[in-house]
Amino acid sequence: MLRRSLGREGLTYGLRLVVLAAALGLWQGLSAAGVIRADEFPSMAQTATALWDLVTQSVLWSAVGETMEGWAIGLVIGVAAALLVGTLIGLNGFAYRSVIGVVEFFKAIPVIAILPIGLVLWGATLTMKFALVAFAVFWPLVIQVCYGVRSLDPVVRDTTTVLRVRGPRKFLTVILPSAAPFIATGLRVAVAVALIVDIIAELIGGGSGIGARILLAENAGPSDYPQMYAYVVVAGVLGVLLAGAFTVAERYALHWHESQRSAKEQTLGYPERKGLTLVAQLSPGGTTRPQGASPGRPGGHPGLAVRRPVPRLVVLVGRLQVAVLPAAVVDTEGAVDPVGDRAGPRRAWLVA
Amino acid sequence: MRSAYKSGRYAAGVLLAATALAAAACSSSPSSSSTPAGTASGGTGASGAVTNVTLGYVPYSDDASLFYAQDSGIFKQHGLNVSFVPQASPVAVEASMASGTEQFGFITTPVLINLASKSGSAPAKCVSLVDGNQPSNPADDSTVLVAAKGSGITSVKDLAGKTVAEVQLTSLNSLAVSVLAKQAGINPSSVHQVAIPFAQMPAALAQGRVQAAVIVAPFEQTAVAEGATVIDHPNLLLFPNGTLTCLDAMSSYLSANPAIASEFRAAMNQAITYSATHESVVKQTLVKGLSLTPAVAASQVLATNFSTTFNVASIGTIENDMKQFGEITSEPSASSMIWNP
Amino acid sequence: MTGPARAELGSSLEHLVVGYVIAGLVGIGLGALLWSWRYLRDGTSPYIYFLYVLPAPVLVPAAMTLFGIGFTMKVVLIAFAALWPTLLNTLDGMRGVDQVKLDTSRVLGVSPLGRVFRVVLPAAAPQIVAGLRNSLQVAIILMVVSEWEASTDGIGYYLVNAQQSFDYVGMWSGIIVLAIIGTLANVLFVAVENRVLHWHYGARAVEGRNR
Repeated sequence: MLRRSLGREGLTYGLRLVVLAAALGLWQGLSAAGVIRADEFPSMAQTATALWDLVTQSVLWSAVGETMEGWAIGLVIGVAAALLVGTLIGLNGFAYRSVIGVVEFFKAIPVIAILPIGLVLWGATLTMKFALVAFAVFWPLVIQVCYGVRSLDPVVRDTTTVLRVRGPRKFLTVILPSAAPFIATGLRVAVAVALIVDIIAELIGGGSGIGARILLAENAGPSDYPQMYAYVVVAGVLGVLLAGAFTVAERYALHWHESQRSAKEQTLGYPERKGLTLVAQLSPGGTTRPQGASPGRPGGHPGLAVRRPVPRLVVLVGRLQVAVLPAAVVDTEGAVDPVGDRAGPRRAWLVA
Repeated sequence: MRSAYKSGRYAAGVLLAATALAAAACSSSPSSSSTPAGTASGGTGASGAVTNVTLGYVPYSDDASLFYAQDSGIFKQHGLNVSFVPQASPVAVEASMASGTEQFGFITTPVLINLASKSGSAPAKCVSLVDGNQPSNPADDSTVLVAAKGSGITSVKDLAGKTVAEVQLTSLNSLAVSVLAKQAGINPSSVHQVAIPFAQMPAALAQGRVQAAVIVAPFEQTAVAEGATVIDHPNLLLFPNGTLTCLDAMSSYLSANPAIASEFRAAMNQAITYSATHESVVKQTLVKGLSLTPAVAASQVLATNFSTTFNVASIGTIENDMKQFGEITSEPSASSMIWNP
Repeated sequence: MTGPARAELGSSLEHLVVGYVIAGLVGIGLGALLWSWRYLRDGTSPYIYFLYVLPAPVLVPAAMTLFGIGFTMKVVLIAFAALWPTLLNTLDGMRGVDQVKLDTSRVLGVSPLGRVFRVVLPAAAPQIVAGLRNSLQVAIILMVVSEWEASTDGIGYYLVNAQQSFDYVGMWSGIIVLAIIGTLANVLFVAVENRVLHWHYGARAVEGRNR
């Protein structure tokens, strides 16, 4: 079993390395063959060199820091406001009906339309960046929080009524935990959107940060293009890391929720060892099993068996990997199940 | 209750990443942008105390005198310590000045006119020239209209129906193309003007995506090396000895800090006068300022006549042209755009 | 007041529609492809996510290099950026399909292609539609951004021109027009979605009532 699991893991990592090598090789080949003009697009070698140089200079890290400032402040403001407003709207039916139209309208405004207003009001400053980020993050998250708060299971709702749980206690102990997966899904998307909007604001509006560096390098001419694309790579990698960090935090915070348990745990009936579960969920084999795994069928192979000694390298690589596909998107099983109650747990919709 | 504790943990866990990263961000080295100290404090330079000011600029060769004023200590003698913030366009500089993160900035005359015309009164005024006025000798001029190799364009008349690249569509260069087209007898709107950054123009010309471009040094050298031909010197033809660029500040800042502005003007005039006779020395500041090699820096052409007086009449001419092409509707007085203490 | 801004809309919307349709088709197609071949999916998933998170406007210079400054560049840029939400949502939706259904259809002799089109895609449809909605928002943003540089018409061009000439009235009218476009696109999308997924919502309503 170990050898099979190691083989599967190793194969996937190996495959990813091969794909990366092939893509980079193709890029270098096209540049060397002149298909890509040297004065318009740097070669892979040049970009890699520039990236390496940047990593060792403080200018890259200060740019990352500046971008993170706008991202973090905007995210905190947007999330706090969305949690507050979304909860209030969700709890009160009248408020919901009156406000939802406005929220949907603002959500539909492309954030790029707000950028010129931000520039006029605040110039190319940190305030402009985090204001834009907060605006972009707020509206979809409000809807998501509101939906989560309203999606209380009728059985649970009736039980709380019967048990006479009311007011703040009901909110904290019933509604909030029940809404948690929806909120978590919304937050996951918000984290990625916040970074994208932040970098766009820097790129088009100016200011400081990764986007601004890309703009300056672009305007400086072909000699700076390797640097420019090195910054582009940094931007993408930063996004992947942030989303991955958030997914880890989410799994930790929501470990009690049934949607976080791996399929194997559901069929085994007992929880797997925590650390390996986390690693397993991060690794490619972790959550590929569809939710509807029926009992009696092996409920999915998390890639690392439970009570086996695991080579450190595999564990290390697994930890270094970010959970990619589920992190990006809606977490849901949307299929209508004509059979009735599903075997798998309920996971959260993203109300897009 | 246990579940309340867990939902609290959920909240903590979620904010963990954001706060940790924010803390990391805040502890990272500060950016090269705003040191907004000394804005309204009105420190007097002459008394020996040095005021910190921030200046937004667009990197190009004619910034040499400006860099020299800071590097050689001329600003310091006048009680100023200037930190430079590179930006992509005069409009971005203007936005930063309006928001207060920068006190002085680079601006081109059309942008200044646009601002004054759209706002009623001049919210920004020129304090000093960058390094002088437009030269009247072609050898000193670095803004040229070039035609791509194989485009068959030999004069402005051939531009009808072709695509011309300029750095910005509300700039002097695009205005110049419209004026020249009209003077050559073709319909200015038949010339398609697109905005492309200077650095990308040589490649666009070589690939035939645009048939002509108004380009400056050092990118002009690259374009010519790739086969582009020089057609004309638009600024020379239309606005000889004209004030085409200047260093400006917001009117509100100027009325609150006249002493700083005076010192700034005096320092720049000193640097410009020095540059007139010591071009090669001043050009070496471009090595650090624009990241050029010493050889390339020495070969740059400074497009200036090293004058230190504003040519107010030329501003009026540019205003007329802009009004003619519908870019502005009202014409504020040209002298209101120059700061007079 | 919005007259001049509205006049610029024609070419922008054209780019948007073409780019969005391409993104939708390629996204769903690639999603189905990746779902079918596990090794391909495993091998490329981090890079797909990398491209999803990458802010597409940073690729404008690259697009200009490769595709010039006209229709092709804008459509390619819009399509490329709008592709990823649909792709990822398609993939996730297809992975969530009930294994029982798949096994049943295989037993009943449905061909692999038939399984994809008749079992998996309809089952994943709600999530695919959520992804398409996300893609629409991205496409609108890229529609504007692709006209920021090197453009001669379009709403993005109008907006950047107004901003650079301090024409605040023009800027506001451009922003209002964009807001209206965003809302209309959303409304249109929801209308189409309700029509196409009416079977899903009906069944969910029944399910909810019976709980």
